[in-house]
Amino acid sequence: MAITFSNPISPVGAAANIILTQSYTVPVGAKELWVFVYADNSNATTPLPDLVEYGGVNATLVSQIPADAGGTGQLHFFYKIINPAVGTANIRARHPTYFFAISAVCLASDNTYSLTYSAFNYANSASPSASVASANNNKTLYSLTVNNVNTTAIGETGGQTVLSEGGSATQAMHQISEELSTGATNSATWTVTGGAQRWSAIAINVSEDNATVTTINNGNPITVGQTSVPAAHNGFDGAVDSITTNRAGVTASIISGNSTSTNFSISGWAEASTYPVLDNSVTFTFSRTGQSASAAQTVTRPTGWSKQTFVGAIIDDERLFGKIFSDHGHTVEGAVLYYNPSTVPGLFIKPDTSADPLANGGTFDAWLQPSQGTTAGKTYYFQLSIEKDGTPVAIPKHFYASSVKSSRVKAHRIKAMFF
Amino acid sequence: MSTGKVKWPVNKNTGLIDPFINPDGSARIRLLGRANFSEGTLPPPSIRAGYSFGVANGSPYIQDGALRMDYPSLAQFQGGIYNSLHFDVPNGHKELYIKFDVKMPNAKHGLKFLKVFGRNATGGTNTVANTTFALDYTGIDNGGMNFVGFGDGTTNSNDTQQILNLDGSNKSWVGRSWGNGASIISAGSNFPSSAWGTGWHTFRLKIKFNDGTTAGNEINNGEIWVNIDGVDYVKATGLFNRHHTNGDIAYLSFGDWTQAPTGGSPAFDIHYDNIYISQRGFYEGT
Repeated sequence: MAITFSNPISPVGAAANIILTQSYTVPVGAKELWVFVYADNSNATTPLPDLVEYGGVNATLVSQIPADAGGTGQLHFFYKIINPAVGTANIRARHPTYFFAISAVCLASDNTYSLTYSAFNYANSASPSASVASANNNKTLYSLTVNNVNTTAIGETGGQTVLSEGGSATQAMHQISEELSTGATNSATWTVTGGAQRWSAIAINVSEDNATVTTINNGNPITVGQTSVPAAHNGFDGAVDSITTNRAGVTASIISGNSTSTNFSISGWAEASTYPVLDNSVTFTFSRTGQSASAAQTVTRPTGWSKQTFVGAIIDDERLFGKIFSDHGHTVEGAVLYYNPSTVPGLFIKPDTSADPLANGGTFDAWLQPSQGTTAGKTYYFQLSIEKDGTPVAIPKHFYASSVKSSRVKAHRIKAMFF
Repeated sequence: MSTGKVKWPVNKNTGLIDPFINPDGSARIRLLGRANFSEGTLPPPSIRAGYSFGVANGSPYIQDGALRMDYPSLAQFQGGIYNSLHFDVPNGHKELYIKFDVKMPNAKHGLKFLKVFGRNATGGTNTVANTTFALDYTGIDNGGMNFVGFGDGTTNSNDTQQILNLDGSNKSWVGRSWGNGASIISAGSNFPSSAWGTGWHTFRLKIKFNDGTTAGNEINNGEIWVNIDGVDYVKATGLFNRHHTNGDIAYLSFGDWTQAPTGGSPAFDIHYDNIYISQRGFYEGT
């Protein structure tokens, strides 16, 4: 995240009801324009500025520092315009009662962020302090201080940046910044000298506006090769451009989407292609320019399919599947077989590649994924058949017509056809 | 896409097609290892990839077409593995049928005789399920077979905490499966040392480790079966004989450890021949 303050201005003071005008250039990439208005206040209450705008666009009041208990001092009003027009225009402000000044900065970013104005301090003290806690992700704290006196120390590494001079020589707007790590608390203490030793500060949390993926496939496991996988997300500025995964062989293709949802498909098993062993948690990263968010979901075998990992695989028995796989050049020990038993009722393949006895044979689909050997990690499609050894074969009609004269002999010969 | 086809005979008893049934309905035995020592070399050759014999200890040698193991005269309690012929099996075997001919023509004494070593959870051979078809060397009846030692899987150090007596006595000594599904059928006698004589005897020993990978899903389906010269001395089913974290059978050891009881023991020799290790039944061929 890179957020910069740019184009601070130091407008001169203006009397009450005078429109203060200051040309200001909003740079490309600016996300927000902040305008601070100072009102020299000698009373307990001070009305709001009645005009704060940029290029004819009214700014929105974010917050204001209240008058102090003594009823003297200055009020600071904090305004902002989101997505200000890029280019040069005038900031205009007016206060109905007091001498005032304005100061403005642009907040630019190459990423999406959010701002939280989490601390707002005002006190009479020679050694004021303010603190801000990082609430979630890494944040950059920008504490904008506005003092009616010069500051001699900020207590922050890197010191301070004077953004503007206020209505008098002792009024200044300073920026300090510090990156906070997750859960950290930042405190800043500095000394003010001169004047009434009054100070105020706006502590601002600036954090990445984290896009988040809330659900994938409605919270259910994704089937290998699933062609329509819904995902819900928020925080994206627009439709997601791409989805990547952390598993080799699992790719996602976007079908449709917008800023809050994406419908995509994932790759399936393919002959001699890499794929993770299932079930497996796959992290999907949704991205668009400058934004990304990730979430994990389990990718599983097709509904109704079974899975067996071969241990003690028998590869030299022509009645067992291990020999078939081995004959095709695969290392069977440790391999995983996914198979569809629906076409062969009762089919259960065992770790040694044998299977339980069955009422009938049949043909079924399977994918083999060796874990060792030259084909390790890749998937291979098999169509396997179990046949009854000894199924009667069709008896040619001429067998009866020309060769068999008695039913007894026929029965004997038919029996011989079994094997 | 690849295709493959298997053909299975019909089990005439069940009507089901079955990969492990012969056309006549009998079980289709799968021979894993055979040692008749006719090649005159040790170790005997493998007949199946992944299964192999090996001389692990001592100096067994071939005499008259059989494997001879000589054990020295021992002072009191002096023990050791003086001879051992291993048969290593790959992962995936909880059940083995072991058939062999054996004789002890001279002095009679005991030894481990046939020990079954298991794997642990990570495939190693420490802290595993072991079962010992032992001949007595404690002095009760040196050289006789009185019991099979094993562990009931209460802990993963699963060796000879439990006893299956050949004569059917003290059945509860089989451990936690007793009263919980274990069945012990005994002919009521041990195989005494006096039964050895000088000739050959045929031992058929079955070991099956019980299934299960967790304390919740383990089931007491372990088996131990001792048949000598065609007589079922003891046949136990429904046993717990493996801790659920332990693995399958790793290897067999013929001969193996002996020691002397109080008073020492004489030198003795034991001869093995026609060893057949198989699945799904005892291999009765040659």
